[in-house]
Amino acid sequence: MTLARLGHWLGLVLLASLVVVALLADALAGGAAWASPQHALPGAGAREIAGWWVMATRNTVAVVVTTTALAAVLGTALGAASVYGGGGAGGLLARLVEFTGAVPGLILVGLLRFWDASGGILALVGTLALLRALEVAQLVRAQVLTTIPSDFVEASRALGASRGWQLRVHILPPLARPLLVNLLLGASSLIGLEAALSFTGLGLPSDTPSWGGGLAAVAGGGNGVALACVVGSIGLTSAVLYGLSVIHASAEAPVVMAGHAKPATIPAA
Amino acid sequence: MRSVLRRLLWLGPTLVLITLVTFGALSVTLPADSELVDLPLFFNPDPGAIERLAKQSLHEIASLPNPDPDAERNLSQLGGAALPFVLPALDSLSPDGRARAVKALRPLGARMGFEIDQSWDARREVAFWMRFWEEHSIDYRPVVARRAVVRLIQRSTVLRDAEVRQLDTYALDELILQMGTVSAEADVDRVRRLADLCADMTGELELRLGSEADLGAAQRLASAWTDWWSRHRTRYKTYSGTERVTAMLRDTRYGGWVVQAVRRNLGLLESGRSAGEVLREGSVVTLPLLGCGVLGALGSAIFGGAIAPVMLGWRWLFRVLGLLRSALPVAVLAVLLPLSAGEAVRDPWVGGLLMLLAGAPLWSFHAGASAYRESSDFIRTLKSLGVPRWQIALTTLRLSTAAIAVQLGAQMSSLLTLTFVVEYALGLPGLGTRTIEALRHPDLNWLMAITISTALFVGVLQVSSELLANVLDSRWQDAPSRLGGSA
Repeated sequence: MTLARLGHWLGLVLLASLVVVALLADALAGGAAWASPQHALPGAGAREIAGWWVMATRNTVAVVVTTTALAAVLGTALGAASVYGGGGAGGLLARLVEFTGAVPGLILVGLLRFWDASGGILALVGTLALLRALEVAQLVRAQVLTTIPSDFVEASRALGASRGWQLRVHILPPLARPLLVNLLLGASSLIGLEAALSFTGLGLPSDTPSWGGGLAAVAGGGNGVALACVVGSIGLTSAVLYGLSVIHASAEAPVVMAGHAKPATIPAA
Repeated sequence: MRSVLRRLLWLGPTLVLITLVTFGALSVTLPADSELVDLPLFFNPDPGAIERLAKQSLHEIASLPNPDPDAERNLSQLGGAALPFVLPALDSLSPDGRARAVKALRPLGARMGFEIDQSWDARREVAFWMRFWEEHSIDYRPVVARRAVVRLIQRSTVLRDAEVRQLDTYALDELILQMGTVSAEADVDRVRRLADLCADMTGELELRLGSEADLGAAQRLASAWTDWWSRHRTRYKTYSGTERVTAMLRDTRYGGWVVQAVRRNLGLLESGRSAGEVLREGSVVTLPLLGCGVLGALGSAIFGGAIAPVMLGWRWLFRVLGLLRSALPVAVLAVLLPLSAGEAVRDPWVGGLLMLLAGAPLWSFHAGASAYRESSDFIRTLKSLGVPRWQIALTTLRLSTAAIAVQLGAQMSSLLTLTFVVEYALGLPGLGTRTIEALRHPDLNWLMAITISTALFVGVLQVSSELLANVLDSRWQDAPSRLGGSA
């Protein structure tokens, strides 16, 4: 077993553990009965810190997973539509991408908080999903524009393949790996962004346990265990997600050739 | 190039849209300025409300035996501007209603300089106002008001002063227009006299100029009156023609903000300073930090992209460095540094170093791009021809940097966010610290200013990154036109 494969499996096990903790958080933390309130973290004992960590893990994982899933779906649709949508829909989507991308995330999340009845949860998830979707859309657009001029796409077009067929057979398969890498890398940066926004008081509500909120609570020092717990959680998860993205990016990229196409079965345009 | 130009042209409408959305969102959620709360947000279907307000007040006063004091106060505040609608309507009122209406006009009469008899005789006062209108209705025209104010400016006499006072709020438009330009000491006295008249007419007694005031104070006061007029103009005027169409957009809360932003360098903050001035000050800290972030992104990308194909055996080192960097997100580092190294790290140089690290993850996109390139026919052909690795690296660097250029534009929003967080964590006096405070304790003018500035900045960078990508890899330019096939 190579080092990369070992790292890959170890990373997956760690991520799976986090997901399990998130799913069983209420049971593990005794219904949050023995979890320390976030603001009391600097003076909390080991048991309270552990309870807080379980609840914070649940909330952070929920934010990252929801955001990443939303970004993947929305970003792929936006990116593909900006190329295939033509002057009308494509242009409109391109303007939307420009519009959302032109406002920094911190300002966007801050503005949305004024409207957010949930105290910041929806604003945070919505903003991060929107920004990540923009990045995914840019990647998809770049990837599609890079693939379109390829010889094998030209060949299938010469044989009369429709756009849908080209998209399904030639454009989307080579997009899968960069997209996966981007999503993993994005999830890694989302951990940091959540921490950054919660640290400034613009992330999850201050009474909702999260790793970023914990970072803000222990920023003044006073509890080494809590600080290590927060920094370790953020750092280890970010590093694992980053590592997985590197492993996937380094894997031999599939060489997409015209042979993938089966000229005899190409539907007529 | 055409798509870049198109995006540049779209930048203007995008900015307008951003200001509309941001202003709308903030205005709906934040408590409105008490002086603007009556104005519509974006569109005023009935600008120049003096006729409606005057008739409404008159109706409320005349129709009830005990008129609402607010209606009487309103009529008095509307002042001379309401007379062209109130006095001609007296004939149509009942005798009692007429009496109540002229009683409500007593404070206005006193303000206009008439001697008010303390004993109340309704018939006498009705007759007075009817006669007044017969004799002076011809004076309530813009050209007469302009002439009266200009004559007062040229030479102040009791008679000329009384002439303007008799027009009361009808002359406000011209008074404030004539107050506008203040460039020499000689203008101070003019501003003082006009401001006194305006203050008497409107009750804004604090907007006067002291006897020892200098040129700067006169300029500030003239500006304050212009601001006041831009907020209240719609109550004292009637519009017609194109002026009415303009007023539909201008006499709104958004229009008021635009006028303020243009006149006051993006508007005044709660501290009294202009937002543009504070933006310039904060940029001195923020832009270098952001530049460090961009440098970190491009530097690590170029370094990684150029070196990796040459030093294939050392790739693990770059990956370990990347892993270490990802394990320490910038926000965590910004918190840990002051905890471990004390207050000494609260320095722009430390912030710059943090931002260099913040930009570095973009390298990953480059690594992915170069991995893809390596497997392409192009690279294989070069290898089969025996081209040295370093030459292949230089060749692929240009192509794969196109992907980075596009990503950089998209990542700018995140880089700005990280810059703001680093500033906040280290307590640096940049735009970020100010913005985070403004988001916690809302300051509309600052939030609008920072949103416009950053949107313009990011928009220009996005267009530039696309231009760079097109230059680096010209195949992107015509890719959309080569889609072919049926949709």
